[in-house]
Amino acid sequence: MTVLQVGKLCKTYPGRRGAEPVVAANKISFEVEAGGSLGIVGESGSGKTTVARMLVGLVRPDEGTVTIDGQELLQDWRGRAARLRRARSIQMVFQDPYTSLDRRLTVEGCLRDVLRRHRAGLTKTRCKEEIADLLDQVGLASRLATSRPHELSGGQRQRVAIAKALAVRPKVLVLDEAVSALDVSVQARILALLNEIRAGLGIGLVFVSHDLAVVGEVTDRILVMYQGIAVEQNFTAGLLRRPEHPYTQMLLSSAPGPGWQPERVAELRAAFALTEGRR
Amino acid sequence: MLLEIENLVVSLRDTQILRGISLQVGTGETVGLVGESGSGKSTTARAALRLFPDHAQTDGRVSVAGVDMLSAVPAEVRRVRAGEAAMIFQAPRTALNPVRRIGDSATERLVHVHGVKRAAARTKIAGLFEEVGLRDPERLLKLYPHQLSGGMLQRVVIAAALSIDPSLLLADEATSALDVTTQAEVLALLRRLRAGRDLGVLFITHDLHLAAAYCDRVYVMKDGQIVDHQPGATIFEDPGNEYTRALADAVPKLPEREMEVRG
Repeated sequence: MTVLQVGKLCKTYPGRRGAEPVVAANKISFEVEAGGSLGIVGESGSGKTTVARMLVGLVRPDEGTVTIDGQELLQDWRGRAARLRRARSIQMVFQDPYTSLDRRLTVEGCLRDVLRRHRAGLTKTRCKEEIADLLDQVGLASRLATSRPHELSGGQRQRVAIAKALAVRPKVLVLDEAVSALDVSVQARILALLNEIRAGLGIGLVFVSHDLAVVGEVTDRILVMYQGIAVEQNFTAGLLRRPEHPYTQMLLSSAPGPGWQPERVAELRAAFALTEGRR
Repeated sequence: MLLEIENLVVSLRDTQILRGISLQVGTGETVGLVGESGSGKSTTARAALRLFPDHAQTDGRVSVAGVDMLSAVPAEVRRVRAGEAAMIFQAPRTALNPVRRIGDSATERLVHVHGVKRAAARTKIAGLFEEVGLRDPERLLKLYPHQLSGGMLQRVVIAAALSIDPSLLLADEATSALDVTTQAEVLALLRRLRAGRDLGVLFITHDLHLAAAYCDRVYVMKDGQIVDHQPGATIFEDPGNEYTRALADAVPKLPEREMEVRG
């Protein structure tokens, strides 16, 4: 069952001081199944974060639609009701767990805040149980409930951010470079958690990252962006094994591994920029 | 040896942060230092400049270009910091003052530490900007950090580090904030500079695959100790050390690509 339908999202930022306008997204379309996961990859400036922010309503698209469970979320843009509708269907987890949490709130307080706002009518005891369930779901020990962000490690904070997003019971979770700031071993555990969540709760994931190997771990489809355009979209295994577009091929050969030479990557990158420039 | 650390112990109150580190970096060599956050990689690199946490107790030996950093007089330590060893940090955006022009930040060491005249310093930096692949250096000198991309800023920081003609470069997660293609460009640049200037590079990263592919030798750190030391080229062929293997396995790997030849 398709939970998220994105239709031809477009966004152009005006150029600063006479510079050319920047096309950050040009007719980006994709779908995500319930319990499915789509990766958006590309280099810095390719427009992947703009797309993520448009999905959750942080950036208003020039054109295009975002439909969750048959309900279009962006046409009705202004007002509290529209904002709440968006927040309750689609949630976002950001890159930096150090700045995305309110440092005055305890873990418990932060989750209670979300529950009160979005799940009105929960009794005090229900709320407590709900918080315990959420902590359990993201693998946080219950004794951490009274901790504040500065007492937590990066991985623990990112688990809190995920719990906070799950608290509203969204249909879709957008993760923008959500594991990029974490250590590799912590990263592996968060990726496992995400796979558990989407399988267990049937939530659709949109996973934005510049790291193709990480995206390969948690997604079943990948969309590759370059200069605001979706240059390739395919099943994860197929895209990683048989990349069609020259940009995807270049991106894949950029990652360090056996036989990798930075000089060769730099050459490919320069050659690619040249051919693109001529078009 | 350019950098020689022998049995270095750093403790804060009752906790040992570094528990007997020994490592060497030779001229023209790129040496990787890999480990997770908190393993002590950055503390080790900073020790080369005798930058320790407040109230830290130290034991062992740190020598940079023949100067014993732990027993040297302050003037001698300053000479090493200003002329022998330079450090590049992870986030160029926080390493540069956002309200100062690129030119003022980049020439700071030359003007204020080496007493070079401002105009001469700017000429030298402009030359270095070209060496690190930045176009239109004269215009760049007048811009502010927010007007440049992350990759460009990292090149600015590298040029500023090179302005003192160091023999040792300490790169602390210098490319971790960059995307893979930009990272490759900056690494290719560092390798070219190393060859041209006979630099010794201590390359700190959490990415074992990157260290293995890029460095001549790799040290692996865990909990303030060096637990493995191997040539970069063979670290995956013989990951005899359990921790190195765990670290390697934790990094997601891309599947093998089906090679195809196209016209």
